[in-house]
Amino acid sequence: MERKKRIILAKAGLDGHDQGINVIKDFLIENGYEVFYFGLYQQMRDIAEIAIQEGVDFIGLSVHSAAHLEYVKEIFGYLKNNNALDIGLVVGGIVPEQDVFILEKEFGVRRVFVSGTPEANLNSIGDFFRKNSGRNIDPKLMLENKSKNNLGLFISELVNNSEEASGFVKNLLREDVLTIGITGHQGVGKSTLIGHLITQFRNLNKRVGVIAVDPSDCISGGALLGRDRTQMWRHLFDENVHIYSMATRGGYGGIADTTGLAVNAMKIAGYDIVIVETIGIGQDQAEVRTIADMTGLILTPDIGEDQVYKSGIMQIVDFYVINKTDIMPALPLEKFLNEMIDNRVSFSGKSKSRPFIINTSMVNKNCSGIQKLAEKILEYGENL
Amino acid sequence: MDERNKNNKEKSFCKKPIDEFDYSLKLGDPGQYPYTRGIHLEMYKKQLWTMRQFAGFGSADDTNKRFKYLLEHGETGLSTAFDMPTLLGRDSDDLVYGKETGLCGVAIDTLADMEILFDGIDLNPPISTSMTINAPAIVLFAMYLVVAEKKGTDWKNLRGTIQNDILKEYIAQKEWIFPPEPSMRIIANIVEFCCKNVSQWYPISISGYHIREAGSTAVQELAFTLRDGIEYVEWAIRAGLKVDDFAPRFSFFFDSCENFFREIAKFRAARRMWARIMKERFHAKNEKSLQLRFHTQTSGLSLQATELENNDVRTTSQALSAILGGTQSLHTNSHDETLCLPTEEAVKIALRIQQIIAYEMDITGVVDPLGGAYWIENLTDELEKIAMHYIDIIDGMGGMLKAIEQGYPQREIRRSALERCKKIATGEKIIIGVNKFPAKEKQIIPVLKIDPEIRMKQVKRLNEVKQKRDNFKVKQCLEYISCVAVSKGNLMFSIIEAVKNYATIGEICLALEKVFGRYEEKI
Repeated sequence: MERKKRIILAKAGLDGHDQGINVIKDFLIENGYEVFYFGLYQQMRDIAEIAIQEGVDFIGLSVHSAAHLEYVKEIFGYLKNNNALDIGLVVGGIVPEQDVFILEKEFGVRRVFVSGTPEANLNSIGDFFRKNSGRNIDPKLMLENKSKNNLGLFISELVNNSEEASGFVKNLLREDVLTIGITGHQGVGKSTLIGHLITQFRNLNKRVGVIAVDPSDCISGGALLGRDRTQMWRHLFDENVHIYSMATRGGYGGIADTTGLAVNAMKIAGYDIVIVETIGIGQDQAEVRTIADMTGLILTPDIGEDQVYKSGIMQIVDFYVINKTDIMPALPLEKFLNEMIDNRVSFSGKSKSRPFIINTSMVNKNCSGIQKLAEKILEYGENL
Repeated sequence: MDERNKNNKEKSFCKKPIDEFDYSLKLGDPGQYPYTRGIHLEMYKKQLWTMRQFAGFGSADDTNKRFKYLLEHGETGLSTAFDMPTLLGRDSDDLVYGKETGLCGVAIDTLADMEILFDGIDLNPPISTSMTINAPAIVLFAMYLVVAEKKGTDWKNLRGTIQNDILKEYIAQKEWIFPPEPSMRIIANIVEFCCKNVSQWYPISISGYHIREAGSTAVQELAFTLRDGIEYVEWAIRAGLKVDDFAPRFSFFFDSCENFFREIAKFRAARRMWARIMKERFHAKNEKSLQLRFHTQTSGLSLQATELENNDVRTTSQALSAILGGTQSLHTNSHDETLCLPTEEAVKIALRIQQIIAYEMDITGVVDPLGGAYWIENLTDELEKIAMHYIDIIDGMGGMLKAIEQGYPQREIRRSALERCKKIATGEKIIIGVNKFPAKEKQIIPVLKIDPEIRMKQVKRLNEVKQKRDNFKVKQCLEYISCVAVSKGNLMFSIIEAVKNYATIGEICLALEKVFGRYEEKI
């Protein structure tokens, strides 16, 4: 099976010319690539750090503001300090020939696509990414040095079905690591909630890994990844937090086939808690239960009772979070959930104890309910 | 299909019987409603278009020199390009983005820079000054007014334009600071202020240029720009102004691209549509309210980075479209702009293109020389029809702000841009020297070198200004700006006061941001 390349695209600095990068983003996704793009006004060290954690193959930088040397230098320096210079750096935009030379010679830029030249068209750009190999890592390296760079790369090996890499993590059992599945419909606030949960766990000095799953385009197989990261940005430079985004790649039930392996990789790398965020799910997708020790369903108070009835996953999760209690009182839904739990024949969760319900709201600074949620999760985890 | 065949096919379907065509309804004489043929009876016979080359780089001193160079070579209007930090309301000492200081425009931090920028230049007519500034337009405009005041120039005499079009920033150019609603309020404040105090000034230049350069089609450029115009008129009316008081001071800005005849038709359609919109939708009575005045820039997107000399040919043809389409002012691109800001040599040729058309070709004696040609009238009708359809769609969404919120124009443009790029990749859209007869050799040309010390010098000047000014007074001014922002008052006066006391653009924008917040785009 062909290795699917992961590419992070970025606009540097204050430059708002995003026509080119948007076109390339759409084109790459249409052609089956997995692409990260975070919009305008990005800082280069953020982009470089994300590239490292995500184990990407290429960074594509678009600059039309004449500041290309400055910004590329910054990325180059960051990658160098993190032994990640094998990430293929590609630049596009308005670059005079003199600077093309500097970019290639001094900063190891693989290719510069200068706007308005025969090479800067979609076909050549497509060819470039197709013909140039992505990055690889010897899986043993990750076991020796569990740097973020190695872990990111190792997980990228896993999602690309490397047998050697999966051999290391396939049958891993580590009871001391708690894996939490977070699922729910699109727009219920999963990523924001996870962002705050990370803060809580970090306050307790736990190392936290996150696997965020995004949907693959069912026609092209490409994907736009990493949108969930926006809600967790403040943890980017915390050395005890690692976030990895993966596409479903045809996996069933809101996660990818390799998500479980990725969780194991995070365990090996020494993370105490691993959170798996599913894609925005439908009504019967609870596959995350098979890889998580406990699974939480995030709801909002405005969900209709009939929706709850119809939903297959209602009956099988370990905890419920009623989020956004600021938009509507949570009580009716809470009462309804309690009745439903009472009517359950058995509890299918691993701890066999009664599922708990927590109400949260993320609008005010203190984020009501989040501390209680973190405590409850840990307590529940203790009983496993 | 081959591009040439397609054009031939288009030509053959233009067969409207001439008696079906109502001259007075569709065209009217030049200077007559609906102004399809032009807004003046005599047009260039009486006065040529303003030759206005967009210029700015490095420090205010560097750009002041370039201004004078252009004026010496026969330019008739100034046009200022600001650097990225200035466009985004940041100072040159900004920790994150300060490194872009002076790179693609002139760096302006305080009034001190603005004074240098216009040093030795008389701001009285006939000089008119255009400033391409949007999110922080109110600050730069205030600085200009104070500079004029210090020179003893009466505000009533000042001529010029600030772009001040935030809607197209959200849609295409993507350089915003505040969210849409407060941004629209700032614009309404400026419009109101100009009506009363700077009556010869154009407080807004509603721009299709950036929409087109972001990859839209001609029709999308036309439709989104005019719909933006409608939005501004509505906001000004809502702010309590009378349509005939401000509409005569609205101006537009279009792109002139490679499709020669279609572009001419686009300018004609724009005039006719705006006249009808102002008359029928807003019941404007003053004929100046009905007349669409516009600046044109030739297309940067059409320029290529190989065989740069070809770009002058492209620019010449686009300039001709704009002039045959009746533009009021024109910027012609320099051939090296695909690689850097223009060098003196390149910008001189660009200006000469306009001068040769104006003085050697003998085409300025007739207004709308193509009016009545089957092909042109057909294209004009077609563009109007499709553009009106777009406007209806956006009306249906509840206006442009709502449409932007839903990402509608952004999506439409992205779709067109992707399509365009695919056509270039397959060769369906021909570009000489790129995908047809591709250039064999890489060209290394001398590029404009920005002083590598620019940031250091700029920060030094900024620090000196901060040391000399009355910092207590500045603090008071900034607090007052925030107070006015909270109230419903006009921000213009408070900002003029702050500028006079040498508050920086970054400080003023921060004072506003504290109240208004910052805009973030959903991807």
